[in-house]
Amino acid sequence: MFGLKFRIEALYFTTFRKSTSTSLISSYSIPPFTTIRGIISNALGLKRDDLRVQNWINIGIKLQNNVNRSTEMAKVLKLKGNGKKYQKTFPSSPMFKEFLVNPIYDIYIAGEQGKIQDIYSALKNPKRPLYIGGSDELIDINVFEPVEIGKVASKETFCAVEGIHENCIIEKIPYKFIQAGRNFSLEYKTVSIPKDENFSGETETFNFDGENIFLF
Amino acid sequence: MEIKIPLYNDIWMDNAVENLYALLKDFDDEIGMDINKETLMINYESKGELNDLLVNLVESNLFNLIVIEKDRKTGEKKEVKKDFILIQEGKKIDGKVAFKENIYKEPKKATSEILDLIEKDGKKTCVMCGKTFSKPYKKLQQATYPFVTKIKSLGGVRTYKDGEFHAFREYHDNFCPKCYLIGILEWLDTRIIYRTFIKEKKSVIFLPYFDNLKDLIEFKGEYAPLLNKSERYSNIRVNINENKTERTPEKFSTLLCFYEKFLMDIESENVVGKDWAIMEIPLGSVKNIKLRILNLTDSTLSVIKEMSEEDIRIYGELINQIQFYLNNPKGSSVDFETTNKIREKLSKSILVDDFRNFAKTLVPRKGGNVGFLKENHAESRQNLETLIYVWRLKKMGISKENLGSIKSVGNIIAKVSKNNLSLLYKLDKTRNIGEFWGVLREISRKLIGLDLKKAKVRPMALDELIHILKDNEKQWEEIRDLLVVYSSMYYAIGSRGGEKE
Repeated sequence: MFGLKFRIEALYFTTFRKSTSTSLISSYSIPPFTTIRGIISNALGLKRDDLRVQNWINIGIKLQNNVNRSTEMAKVLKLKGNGKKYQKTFPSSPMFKEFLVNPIYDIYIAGEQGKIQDIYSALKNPKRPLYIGGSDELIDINVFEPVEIGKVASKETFCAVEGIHENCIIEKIPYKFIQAGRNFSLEYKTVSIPKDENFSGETETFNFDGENIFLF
Repeated sequence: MEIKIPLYNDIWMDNAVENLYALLKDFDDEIGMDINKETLMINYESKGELNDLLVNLVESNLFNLIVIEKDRKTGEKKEVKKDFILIQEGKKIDGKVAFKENIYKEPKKATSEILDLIEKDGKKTCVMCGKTFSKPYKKLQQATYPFVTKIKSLGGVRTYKDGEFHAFREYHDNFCPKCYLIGILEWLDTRIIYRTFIKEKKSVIFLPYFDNLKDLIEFKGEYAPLLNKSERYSNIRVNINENKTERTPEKFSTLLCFYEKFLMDIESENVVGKDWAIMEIPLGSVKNIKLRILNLTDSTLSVIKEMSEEDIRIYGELINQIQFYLNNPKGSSVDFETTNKIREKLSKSILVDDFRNFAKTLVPRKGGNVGFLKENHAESRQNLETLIYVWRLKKMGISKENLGSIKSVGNIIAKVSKNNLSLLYKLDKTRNIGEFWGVLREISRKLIGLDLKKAKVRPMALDELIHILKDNEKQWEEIRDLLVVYSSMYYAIGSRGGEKE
């Protein structure tokens, strides 16, 4: 099994909108797995609704800095019309929007060597500009060389782990889209993101060049 | 048969799960329920039995959603929906509130339909819990989950058909009947702390959150006696055995007031919650909700706890005793609007552990200055000193003797600022230790022109302060803030002709 690490820095601000917040916009602390697959799909130049990447990789996430949050009053454009005709104006609605200040994440992905190599090349030379959260929230990306990875039993890790654990930020985060006809539904994963200290507890992790990472 | 409800890791829904557990337990202690940190399991023999239970439970708790008020014009008693409740209301029938939500309008029919739907499995996936279901009872709306809107144009996603645009669909119809039932019943929760401000046209509610269900149940159970569910504008009791409720000026003061009562009036606190979701709900028709998450630190809680161990109510016997006195009153000598703002700012400073802002808030401002209520002046002043000792000095390692020097310099600054506040403002605005030395030098110059006997100041204190500062250079900001607090306090005393040091 091969693994790849890349660091993403959201320039200035970003928001990972909770899908169940529409009268205000609240944000997850880490990018959902679906968002990370979206970045990779974007780098590969895949079309909308092409969910191939979901079956290629497992993902690990590590928060690199403290998440500072703030709130602003945002003007949110409403979706109108069916897209067939040219829409001249879009009405808007003011809404409280939570945003994260310059978050940095280390993302770890694992899969077959060929796929990892393709993703590595795509992230190095993306087909389209890469963004995270909102489409105008560009990211700075630093891609490390792919490495061979293996399972290790670990008692300590810095990264997000599955389930509910003490001294962690607990969030239920979108993991996968499930397509049924023209509809999509979401599969969630409950994750614990260590706050100040490492997560300590027996868990199965993968060794990424000396770093023990839990993969979802 | 059983219904399994896992923890949602969502503020509203987790409180709703706890509420369902508490309601069922209060209503029928015999009902089979298992809880652990992450799951609530409800066991029942037949659907009919559970249906009857839910109907009785809704009917007997419906009064939690309303308050009884006298009509201003006619004097007749009428029902009023609590201001923060987001369930739509129809036209009153004989002075009684008529809810539009079926479960509150026709509980028997609604619960039966919901339970039927819960039993069936299907292919749809719930946007809230991620479990599959066959058919929703209702779409996801603000009445069930306050963080959404039913406006289609804000709750939809674009979809494509054959690569072309194909309008948009609302994914919020993917809302399972179980989540609906849990979410909609949360309004019956009598442990939601609330405060309504009619003038500001908003309500603020406080929901605690935990990462495990057992602690949430225990904490809410512990503080329940502090709340009076039948008051409209506030539900924190002034005294635990009385119905009268507090009229706190804003959200932080409400939370601080809650904590002082929780730590002083509740006999055993096994679980002390420190994470809160504060929701601001506008009173108008457009419900643009504002959500703030507040995570109190252990050190903040220990300050409030230590103060309560000293038998001091940090809100009631300190913050609430502070007023903004006008310099040239024509009529009222107190500006109540500014007083409320100051009380709120001071409460916030304590809760977010911000001594800098605490000190700044006490600085005299245009038109008046901050002081204590005359009748409790000495006691309030002593309480402020205890707070400063517990909050700052203990941690800084500054002795009480050294504090005496800081206080005395504070007195000097107050005296030399009597007719010119610029020195006090300058002190408050110092950005580095160099500027701080500069202000101290200025004070030493001003001392020359002061009648020491008349002013009752101790000039040696300035020398002592310089030594303290030299020994604790890294903590210069803390020392500056202490000086600001004491200068402001003595200035207020002097300007009102109150007690002297």
